[in-house]
Amino acid sequence: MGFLKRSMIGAIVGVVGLAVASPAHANDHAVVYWYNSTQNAGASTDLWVAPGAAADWSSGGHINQTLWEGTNNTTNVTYWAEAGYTYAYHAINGLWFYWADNIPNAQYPYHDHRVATFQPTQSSWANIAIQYTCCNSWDITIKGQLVQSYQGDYSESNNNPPFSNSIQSGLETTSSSSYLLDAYSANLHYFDMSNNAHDWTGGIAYHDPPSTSSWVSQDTEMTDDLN
Amino acid sequence: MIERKVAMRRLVAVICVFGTILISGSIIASASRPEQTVAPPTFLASVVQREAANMGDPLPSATGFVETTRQAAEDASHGGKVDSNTAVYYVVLHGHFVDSKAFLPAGANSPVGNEIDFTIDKATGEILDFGIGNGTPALSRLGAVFPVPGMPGGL
Repeated sequence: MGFLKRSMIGAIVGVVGLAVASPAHANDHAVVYWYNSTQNAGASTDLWVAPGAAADWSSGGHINQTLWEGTNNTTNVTYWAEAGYTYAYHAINGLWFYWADNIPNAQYPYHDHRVATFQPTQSSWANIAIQYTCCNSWDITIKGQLVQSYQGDYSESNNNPPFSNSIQSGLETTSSSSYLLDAYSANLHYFDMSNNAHDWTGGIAYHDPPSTSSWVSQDTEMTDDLN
Repeated sequence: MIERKVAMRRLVAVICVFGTILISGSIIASASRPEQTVAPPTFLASVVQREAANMGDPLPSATGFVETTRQAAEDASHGGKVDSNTAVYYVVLHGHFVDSKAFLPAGANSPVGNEIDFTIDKATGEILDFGIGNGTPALSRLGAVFPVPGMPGGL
């Protein structure tokens, strides 16, 4: 009887635990993605820092314009490094550059980071690049220059294996009540193994309504919007 | 009379042994539990409570924080390199977490885990880095570990 009782309690706790731990609704996007892309060692784009605001900032929400680079040879961005600008970061309202990654590591897979040493300027271009260097490390470059760290080196996504077979850029939001007005990802490039830049010739525009996305110039510049 | 003296000596000996055990025990206990000389600012508990709630578990089962620097905290878990090395509170919580507002590419599921860790800028009270997973960063290697005020310790 005691065993049965304990088993039932265990089952209930397990079900509750599973319910709590199940993956929740992922965010909405208006992007250009290229799954099963040409294998590459990095990507770059110029992001237009558009006016925006995150309606759900106080509960940890955000709206961001971002470059995602698949890693570990994943063909649909299962593992990645990303960088861009965000309205709101962990329940603080504001405009910041940030970067994040999801690495093949059972203990510490996902982390995100706010860039602390400089901020975006609204209505200006910001170049973003993510490039493989060596030894499972990817450099994060923002505003056309490597982000200088206190060590005189760069922001790096580490323990994140090469190479990439998937890339993506555009808008991400955690609330359809947020807005980002006429953002752009221009000069969309990937870098081959010899570091030569190429256009995103296989990119597909995708959006979750009410946001929108479309090509401005096929393979090189896209625009997205949520208002 | 002699019996009484022997009994008295035995009693004194027993008291001495117990006294020694008690004193050495308290010395060991105080050595293993570092005293917090300066109370953390009130924002620490409120930021942690808010973050735990936003991650789906407002009642973490275990908590701990250390005073350290940003890069040292990052080295203790994920290993990424960050762009500043300011003084931070590095917080680790155990519970059942879902980061339903993570930064994700299209099609990705929200990350889940029984551990979250984050740095809080000591000067501004703002979160600078955040992670979710299933590890337990070795907080004690970074400094004296304290429970988050108002929450259980255990880390």
